[in-house]
Amino acid sequence: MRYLLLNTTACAALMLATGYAHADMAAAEKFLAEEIAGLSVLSEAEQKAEMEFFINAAKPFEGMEIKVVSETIGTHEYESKVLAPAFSAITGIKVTHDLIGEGDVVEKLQTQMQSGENIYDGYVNDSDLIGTHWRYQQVRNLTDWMAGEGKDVTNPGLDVADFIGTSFTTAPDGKLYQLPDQQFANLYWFRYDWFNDEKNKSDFKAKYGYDLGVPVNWSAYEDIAEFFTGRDMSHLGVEGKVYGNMDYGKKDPSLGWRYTDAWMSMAGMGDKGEPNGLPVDEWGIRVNDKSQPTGSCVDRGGATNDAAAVYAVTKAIDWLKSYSPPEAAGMTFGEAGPIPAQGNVAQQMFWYTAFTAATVEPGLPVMNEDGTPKWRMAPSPHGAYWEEGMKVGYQDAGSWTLMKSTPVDRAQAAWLYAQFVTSKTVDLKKSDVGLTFIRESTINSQHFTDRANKLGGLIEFYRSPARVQWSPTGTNVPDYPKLAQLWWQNIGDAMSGEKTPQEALDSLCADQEKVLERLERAGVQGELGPVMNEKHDLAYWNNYAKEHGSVAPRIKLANEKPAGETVSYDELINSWK
Amino acid sequence: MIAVRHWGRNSVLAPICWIDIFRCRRVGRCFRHNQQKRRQRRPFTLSSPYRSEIQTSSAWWLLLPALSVLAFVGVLPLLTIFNYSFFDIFTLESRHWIGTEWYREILSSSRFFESLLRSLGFSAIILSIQIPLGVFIALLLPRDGKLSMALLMMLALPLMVPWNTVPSMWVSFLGDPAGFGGRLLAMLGIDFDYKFNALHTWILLVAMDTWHWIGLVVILCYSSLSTIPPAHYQAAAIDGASRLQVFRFVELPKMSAVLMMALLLRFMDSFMIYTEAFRVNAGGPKDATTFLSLDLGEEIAAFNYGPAAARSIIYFMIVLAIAWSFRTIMNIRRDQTLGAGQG
Repeated sequence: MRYLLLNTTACAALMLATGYAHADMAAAEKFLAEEIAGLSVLSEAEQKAEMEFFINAAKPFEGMEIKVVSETIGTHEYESKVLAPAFSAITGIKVTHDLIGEGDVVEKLQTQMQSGENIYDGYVNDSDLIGTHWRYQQVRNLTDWMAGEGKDVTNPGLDVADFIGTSFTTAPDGKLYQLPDQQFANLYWFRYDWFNDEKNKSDFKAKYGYDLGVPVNWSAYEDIAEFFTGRDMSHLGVEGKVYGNMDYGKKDPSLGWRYTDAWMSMAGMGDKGEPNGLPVDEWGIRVNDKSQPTGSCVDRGGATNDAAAVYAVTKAIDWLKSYSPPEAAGMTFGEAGPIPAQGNVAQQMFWYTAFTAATVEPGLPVMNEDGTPKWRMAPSPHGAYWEEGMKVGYQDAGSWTLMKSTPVDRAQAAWLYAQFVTSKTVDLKKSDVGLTFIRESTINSQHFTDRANKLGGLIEFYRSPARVQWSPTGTNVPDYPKLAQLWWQNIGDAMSGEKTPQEALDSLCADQEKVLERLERAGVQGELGPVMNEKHDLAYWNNYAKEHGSVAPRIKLANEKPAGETVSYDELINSWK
Repeated sequence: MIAVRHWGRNSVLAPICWIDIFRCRRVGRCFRHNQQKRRQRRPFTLSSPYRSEIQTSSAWWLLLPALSVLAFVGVLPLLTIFNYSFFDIFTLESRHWIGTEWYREILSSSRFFESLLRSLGFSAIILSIQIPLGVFIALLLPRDGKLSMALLMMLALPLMVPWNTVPSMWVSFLGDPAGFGGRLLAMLGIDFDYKFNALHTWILLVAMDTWHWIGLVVILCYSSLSTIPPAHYQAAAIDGASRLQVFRFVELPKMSAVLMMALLLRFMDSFMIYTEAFRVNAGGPKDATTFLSLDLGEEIAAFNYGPAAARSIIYFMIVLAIAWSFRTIMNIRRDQTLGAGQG
């Protein structure tokens, strides 16, 4: 009897043990069959092999509970609700994937940086902070991590070269600091149907002397905005007043990134040299040859308040006042976002592709009955100061970031989850839901070739070589959280008319320099921290730039409105192929 | 970078628990008051000071639990913040000593004084509306019965609405065409533009704050009114007192202690208004609603802990000074009336 009891217990224990191991693979198979369902760039066998890696690599961490955090967008919602539970079932690592506002993610990250207390085991943090991370040296650089402590938990099939955004997450020291998880760009958005209408085309040509098309420069954008604002569009069945521009202008924190996300460089502020302009970037911050920030105002060689910057802000205000719905000036980012999809806006210069999924929903006034959109996205036009080789637009790369203050084992577990949600097995399915591409293999997949005509040019953009010209905030910005905060207040003053654009930008650059000076005084960033330049006048710095083969800061152009220039959308798409 | 920020009541560096400090002061005062009484009662003898000292120290021991809680929630954070205010902090490990630079900078900026004036102005408006209105409503309420309970509960309802929700509610209420209030105003031909018209933003903030907090003033007044014995009213009626005289000589004296409490609470809360002003117009239009706390919130949002700490300390001193002078005035007035009564 006793033996029998022992035997059964042993058998039961054995069955439980093997049963658990099988449950992992069973969970993986269930996930592959039910969720991925063939929507992957990997074959079934390759998918299983990748899942096996995760199961085996996660064994030391079985039962561990980790917490990761990201901002609230569709892609992360999918990760949090679908991929995180699947990962937990497959690996036995219990993941809580919190979704909070991007500002709050930065706040949590900043708190962890300042206090050294581990708050989250992994962060999806915009690569705008690359300059901050590199200078404070508080995050693990992934190049060393994958060769050292993270070696055993690094997926051999990760294929870093397949990621399209790693140039944004690599610091000047050549090390990768963050792994992209979702990306979106801001592009020009317009009503393809209105632009192709014969009556509109002939009326435009008669009035402005050139063809209606995708504007190449801001002069053409302005002409098109003027042309459509208040135009009778009843011949296309459009009711109500029509506007040639959409934007927002309420003094609110969301006004900040409207301008820090490349608006100035689109106008032509800063220097040439992708991704951000060197030595002066799109925030107008100059660095020396050791990548140390040296100033932001014109008198220190920066460009935040130069003629190109004033032009950029002035144009935005003019267009907001003259060619946008009157409510727009009192709107925030969140309020303005859905307006173009309501069908009365002809074009929008500054449109995030993150809105694609919401703008292709059937039944919207901007959708055709066959499920193709009436709108398209195209490269943003550039301002009078812009020259070939300058940054043309902004791209956000929300990227996995592991802090040094997170214990190694927890960071390893979080790294496994990060690789899982960006793995080739799941990336095609994830991108199909969120449309925020990170992998070359996904973009080039047959699935998206088939879906391309329903996405208004998104696939064409991501397949073109132009996509790397859209980049996040670069490494000239030494402390993103502190500096970003200064923008909405100062730009807001210009928007409300309280200050002229010049006054507002003078005060903005002075505020930025104050932060740079504080960093220099505290010496907290060591060799990588700011070293302020001596003050000189604009003529000195303009000559200095010429001598060194750069352009910023700029002197005011005699003519800020050159002839309008447009290009046909279909020709443009062909040039991308 | 795009983001949606959610703003709550400022957390870490929000000026410290005023109420607790206030309470502590009250405890101290009561204590001294009792001591005085005791001294008055006992003729001076050699042994009495000795005995009173024993009583004093034992009484202080009884205060120990309260004091330790207070030290934990009030004094400790205050000291930490005081310490931070002399540093430029990028990470806690690498703090950079800068002495009184933040204080000098804040106190020499015109923006600080403009914000201070706006904050004081806002509190003055709030008090001059809410205190009389609260007293008036409390007087109108029936003294007992189910109806009074129901009315009080209704008045107390807004008190339970979280700060963040109040501005969202009002803004959507006033939104045109979606909000009921917005449509009503449009129908009446009133062009209410709280986004760009400074006066309208102020009106909205005052209305919002009054809606949120009037219940507190009413409940406080009501509670003291209900303690007045009917005999006092009867006496007043026999003397042929008018309604105004009843209010002035029977009700107001009874309410004065509670009114002082309401006045102080409402002053401190309105002086620190943040969420409402930030959510409605982020301090606009053209800085017209940039109060002290909004400047502080900005420093915190930029993770400037040093300047934020210095600001907190300065605000703390302002509130303390105002509360102190307020109390002193009240004491002088009380002594005068006592003196007048004895004379």
